[in-house]
Amino acid sequence: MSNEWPLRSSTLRERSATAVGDPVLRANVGAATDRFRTKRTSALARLHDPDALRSAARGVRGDILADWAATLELLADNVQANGGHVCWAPTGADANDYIASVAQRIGARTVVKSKSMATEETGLNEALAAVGCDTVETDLGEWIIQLAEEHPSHIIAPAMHKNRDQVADTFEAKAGMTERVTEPTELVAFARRELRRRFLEADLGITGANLGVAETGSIVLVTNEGNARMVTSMPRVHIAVMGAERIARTWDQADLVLGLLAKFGTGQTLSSYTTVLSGPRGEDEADGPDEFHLVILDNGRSDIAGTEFAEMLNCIRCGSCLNVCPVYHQTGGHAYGWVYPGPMGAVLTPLLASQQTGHGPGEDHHAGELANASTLCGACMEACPVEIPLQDLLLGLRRRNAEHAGLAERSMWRAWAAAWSRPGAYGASATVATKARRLAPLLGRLPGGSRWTDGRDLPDLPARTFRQRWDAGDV
Amino acid sequence: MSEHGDRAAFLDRIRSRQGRPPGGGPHPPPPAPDVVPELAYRTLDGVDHDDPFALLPVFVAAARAAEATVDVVDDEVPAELLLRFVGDHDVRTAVTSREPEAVALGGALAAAGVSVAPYDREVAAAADLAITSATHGIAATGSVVVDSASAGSRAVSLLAKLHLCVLPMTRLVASHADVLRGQQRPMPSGRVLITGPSRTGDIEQRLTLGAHGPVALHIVVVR
Repeated sequence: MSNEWPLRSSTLRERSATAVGDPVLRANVGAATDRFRTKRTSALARLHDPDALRSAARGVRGDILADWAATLELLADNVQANGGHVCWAPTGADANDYIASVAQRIGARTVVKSKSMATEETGLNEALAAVGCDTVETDLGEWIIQLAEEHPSHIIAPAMHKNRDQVADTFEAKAGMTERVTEPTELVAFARRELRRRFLEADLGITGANLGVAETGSIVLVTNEGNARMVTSMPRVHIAVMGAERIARTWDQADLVLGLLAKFGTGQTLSSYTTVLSGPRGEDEADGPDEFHLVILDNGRSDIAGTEFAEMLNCIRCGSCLNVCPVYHQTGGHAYGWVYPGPMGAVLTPLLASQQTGHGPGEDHHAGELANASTLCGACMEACPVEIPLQDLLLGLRRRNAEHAGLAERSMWRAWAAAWSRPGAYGASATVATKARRLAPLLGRLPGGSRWTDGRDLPDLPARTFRQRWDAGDV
Repeated sequence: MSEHGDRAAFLDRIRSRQGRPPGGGPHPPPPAPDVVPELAYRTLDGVDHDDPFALLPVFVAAARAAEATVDVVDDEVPAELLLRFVGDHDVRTAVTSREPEAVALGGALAAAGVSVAPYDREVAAAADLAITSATHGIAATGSVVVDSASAGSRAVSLLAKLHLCVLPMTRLVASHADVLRGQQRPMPSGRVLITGPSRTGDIEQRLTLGAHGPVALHIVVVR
């Protein structure tokens, strides 16, 4: 896990407070997620029975991962049969080391990257900088974030928290824009010119993989801008970094998943470019890389298999659950502190964090508290193209957190449960509460008390409890 | 072709987490495949999937919805259509893929005074127009499929400012399932389903065409 992410150095409360206190961020994230939601609804309206397709996709993802190891093996064999190289990377550091060694071997100076959450997870850009590579993110949103030295706030729209003026500021300060423009079309044209130069000079191209398809040894990349196509056809070496679970055995399975991905992600019938790559440049082809490498990344994924959270491995990273989440809507992605935000991040981050800390899945405290960033409204489950029961998984993580909570907290709750399970003790506590109601304004002055009272109105407690009124015959 | 890292250890870790014995042996037969349902598009209701004439209007509507422009012509691309396109977009330079339909159209453009060259990445990167053919047109989504093995390049449809794609009508299929399913090795090194021009919504969700690839996609369907 990259050290620069704030997950371990701050609390969910601190990060949320910062996000909620930024009116520009809230307006931008709110408008963007609303728009994604509307577009998804209209894209799904073009299909017969999208819910049946979701159920089928859940079944398909489950079948694939039931046969996980064998499918990976078939994929790896076919990638090599296509003339590609395969690297098995148990950890992010293993993946970074391999990629850095390839970069050094070919003497790479400029590296162009297409957006990849897996390489955000491994902190690849820092690893490449350490061996002297100038790494350029080429997805427009990701490039803006890289220039601004920030982190992505959405898995498919990384700069959605910024408005046009902030983007122009960033281009002026960090990308040498001399004549300030703020129209989105002009900002895009500026980026196109700058990045086109980098595509043509790059020695090494790095992408993620939306899907690896075992039966032909292919990887699939889905983009709208065309940057992944540039990255995989201009430089002389292409490395794809694939989370080990992002696979299909057959093209029947891949077709269903890809058909749903665009509709749930951006609300398009298909994204502009669905690219199927099978190895290095073909004989007598005029472009394409001389070398193709597939890095298969575990980094904590195998630890999720066989647990009650195994269905999280079915996630296809469409971002749909972010767009419907009332918590994400308010905070954007940065509040989640690491690569994966929103409901899927609140589940996945605690599970993957176990790898780095030696805790069991979901037992790392800093990551584990992300499960609290949910109202349990269930909108995320409804929006998931592969029907991951996100709400159940969030509850499961909360239970694990409670089981590993500090002794003091556990004793307090045990005492509370014991007291309120006896009528006498319950009555006494209610009486104390009504007597103490006049002290309520003081609560805000207690250490930590204001955190509770600032955002809430304390209910006006009646002078007598219900039982007292019942006994007096008033009700 | 090489392999790095410890495949057996990597896979055995997965197997042990799933409660399986270590070592899988060489590709055990897959479980009996359940039928994976295809996406059923409402626009294909009542359309004969094998009849290109029936698929054509569905394709044209879907491609236009994806911001492509479409012309349908009867036999070969008429000269006045070419001249109009060249004039509208101020086309001075063009590259072509090696597909016969693209080369033929390139010849016609050259006759109209455009400087036409076969694909080369530096030339293409500076060109106004790239011409390719398509191996398939997908009616439900309005996509064209361009294949590196037939086009001779991965990026010929990507680098120039405009992309003109010639699609013989007989290559229309109903859905992406007809293209993706049943693919087998050997595969072309690159195959792309192109749905409209390059676009981004990364700045304030404003749809902007021509992010890194073509600003416009023009499809000429030849009946």
